[in-house]
Amino acid sequence: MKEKDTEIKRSARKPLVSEDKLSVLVTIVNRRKADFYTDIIQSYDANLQMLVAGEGTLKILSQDLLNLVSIPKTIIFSVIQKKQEEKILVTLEDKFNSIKDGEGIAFTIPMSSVIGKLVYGFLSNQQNLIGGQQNG
Amino acid sequence: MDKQAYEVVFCIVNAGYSEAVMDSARSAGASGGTVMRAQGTADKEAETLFNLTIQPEKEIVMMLVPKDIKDAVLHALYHDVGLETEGNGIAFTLPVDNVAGLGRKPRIPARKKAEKAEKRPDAEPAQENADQPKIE
Repeated sequence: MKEKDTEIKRSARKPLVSEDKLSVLVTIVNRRKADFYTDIIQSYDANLQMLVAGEGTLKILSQDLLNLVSIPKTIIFSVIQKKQEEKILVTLEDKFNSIKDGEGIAFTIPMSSVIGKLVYGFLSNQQNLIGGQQNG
Repeated sequence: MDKQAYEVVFCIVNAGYSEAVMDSARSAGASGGTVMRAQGTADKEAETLFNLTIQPEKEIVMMLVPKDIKDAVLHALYHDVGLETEGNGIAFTLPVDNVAGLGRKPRIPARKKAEKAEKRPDAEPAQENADQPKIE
């Protein structure tokens, strides 16, 4: 009974919520440029990226008719560290404005929770969380 | 990087209704969106209970909108492509922390630049004309 109490007390002292928050970065770019942007985001320690094919909607005036034209796009969902958010977005904005056909939109959605130490270590690229070590 | 407050609107509709979603969102002030194809799943028991049939082929429309028009966009979607319509749509929003790529300067092709310069009476002559010998 006493042992159990000490264990509960010990686990209560362990921080359950990490200070290093994660965000989901959504980047919408032309399909041909998807690999280029994936590489850029990966260079900022983003270990998990998902690419989804999509279409952009744009209304253009052709032959006096307002038509809906679909443009092939790729939506890149990346899990990034919140502390890297600003750096990544500044880099992406720079590329959006300077690369030919490299226009796009990027935004971040805060991630509220994740379960599993290993999963968290993988997503936040903290190798010290792998192999039973815990580092707050 | 844009510090203006934005939210991302997701609208899940039956396949073929993404244009209706865009029209509805545009009427509320949204500018553009990205369409993804997806497959929906639903609990069979819930379907019978609520007397609903879930068409598996879906389209997900993702739109980044300023926070101040978010409610207007949601209301428009609810009325135009909501659950009581053929579109059978569900719309929700997620908070967005930071945005990049919305404040880009539109690039004008060189040909259009020359045309614009010709239209202006006080403008310098185009490079092609400047190279031609003067006829006196």
